[in-house]
Amino acid sequence: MDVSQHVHLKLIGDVGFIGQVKRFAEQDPENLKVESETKDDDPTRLGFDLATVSAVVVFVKGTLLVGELAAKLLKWMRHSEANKVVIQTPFQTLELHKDSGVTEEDVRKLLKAAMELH
Amino acid sequence: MGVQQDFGGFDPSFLGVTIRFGSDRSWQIYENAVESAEPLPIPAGNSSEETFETISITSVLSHEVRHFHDFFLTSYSAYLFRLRIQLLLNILELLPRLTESDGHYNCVPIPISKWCVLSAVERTRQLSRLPGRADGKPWVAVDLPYLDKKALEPAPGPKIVEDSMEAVQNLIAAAIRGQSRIRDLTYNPQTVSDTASFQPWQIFELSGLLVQMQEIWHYYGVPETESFTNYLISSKTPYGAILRVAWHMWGKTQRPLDSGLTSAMVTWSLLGSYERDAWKACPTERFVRLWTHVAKHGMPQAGARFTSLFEEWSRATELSTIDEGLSDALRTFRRAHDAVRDFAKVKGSFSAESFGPFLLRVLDGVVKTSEHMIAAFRQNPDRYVYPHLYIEHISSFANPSVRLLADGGFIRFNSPKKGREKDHIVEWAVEQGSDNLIASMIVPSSLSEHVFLEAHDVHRLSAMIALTDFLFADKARARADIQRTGRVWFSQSDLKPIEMFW
Repeated sequence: MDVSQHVHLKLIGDVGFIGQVKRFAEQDPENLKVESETKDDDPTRLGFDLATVSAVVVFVKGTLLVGELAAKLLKWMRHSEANKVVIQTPFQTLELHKDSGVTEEDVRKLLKAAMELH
Repeated sequence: MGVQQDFGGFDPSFLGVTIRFGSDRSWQIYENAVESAEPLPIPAGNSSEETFETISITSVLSHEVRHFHDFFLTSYSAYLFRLRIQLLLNILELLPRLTESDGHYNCVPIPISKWCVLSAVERTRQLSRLPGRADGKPWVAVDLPYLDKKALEPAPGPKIVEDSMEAVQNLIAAAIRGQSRIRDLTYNPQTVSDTASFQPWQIFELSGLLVQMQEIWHYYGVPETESFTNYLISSKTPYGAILRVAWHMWGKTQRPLDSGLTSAMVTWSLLGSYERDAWKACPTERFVRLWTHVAKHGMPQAGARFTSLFEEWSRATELSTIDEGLSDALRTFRRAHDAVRDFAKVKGSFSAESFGPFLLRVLDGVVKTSEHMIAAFRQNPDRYVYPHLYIEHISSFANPSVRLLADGGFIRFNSPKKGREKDHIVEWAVEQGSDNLIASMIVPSSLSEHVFLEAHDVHRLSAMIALTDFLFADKARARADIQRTGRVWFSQSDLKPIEMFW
């Protein structure tokens, strides 16, 4: 399967989760770049159980290993204060809930599908 | 183990009650509570988190039912609903253009509200950011007009319905204006500081919480009510924040929180008239003005007559009376009904002929529900305001359908038959072996005999409104139920909906 060299993702989560994403982007700016950030103070609309959540749009280069990013997203989600995070690709949206049994493989598949040619 | 802290979240596009489950465990607790004649025991070794989770699940229905009832009484909700219906009607007219490719186009960039304000250069740049196509061809977006500021200004004259680019431009502009007005209603910039934001939804949540606390007291007792309240107040959830506001308010008067009086203040704040007061009818605006008044003149004594208090508060704040608010709510629901009636009469419109009769039936149920709720409120306001009387007399109010939603996963039924029971409507599900894995299901409720909206109709309207959010909403579109609805709708089309991020 051919894959694209890049993809944009939107990540929505609590301040801690988004902070981890931003720190990782600072460490590896070649492969992951935060392009914009917005705050939402009515996250109940999205089913969050916190008063404030953030959303970042990130640019991911194809050279970044999808498996590595999937593992990190899952780890950051488990350490976040909110009940979940949302990952949006141009073609799909996935909610990762702490208790819903989402696996690293599920996240890896989502990211891989986002980078495949459509 | 993390526990779920929020099981509700009223969704005004679903005209019923929504309960969300984040895990099989929380679903099992809910199912056990529904089937048990006795209060569900709380194991002695439970942590405070687990105790909170059990108490929350067993009482969440009362909280969400209160939202359902508040919806049909308030002009705030009626205006929002009317805007959503107008938005839906505009989008139904647009749908043929958004789903037919003509063999040339291959994608629909969403949200359309953002796409249509981009210049041609910016649109090309956005499409170039997408991963490539397997057939090597470029992404070609469906032809949608560019809308500048002038195009977004309200247009005078009747709506154009013929199939022209100008008609499409008018429909999209109307849809964007509708989205913007929904945002104006739901977000009050006057009650935002650097550290906190106080918005209408929080007043509605306080209304639900007061009823839920009463239900816990009724179902379990004082220790469990205190355990629930203390946990919530110290939590970072949105509900904790609004409960802290109420606690703080009573603390300043050096009196313990009086749930009846707090509920009266919340009810008065919710029942303003936008027709009379315009933006001053915003629930947060009314709540802040009322609090300023009682802080200066003292909190009323417990046992004061609510009808007198409501009149006094309206006089003191120079804001609309509850009676004006209730009348405005009903008039606004009726206007939404009339808009649908006019839409259904449009000759030669595929959308009007396909969806008009259904929408008219639902709007008829909406108006009847509001009429019933307002009549019940006017007949005996105490039964609505006092949380304990509300729970005792809940059978005199309208009966909701109940939607059970698995957040980010599936509800697993131990018995495959259970998910297929005749009176259950399974919205989204997959089968895995002998298991029914259900993502969303509507179940009947029998809180009262006053039923004006059929579960199937509520389900179908919710799916149609979800489609409008999928195409036009900025933030709510990330919700799993909205994504499911939108993507399934477009699975019949050659056009691929593509999320645009910037």
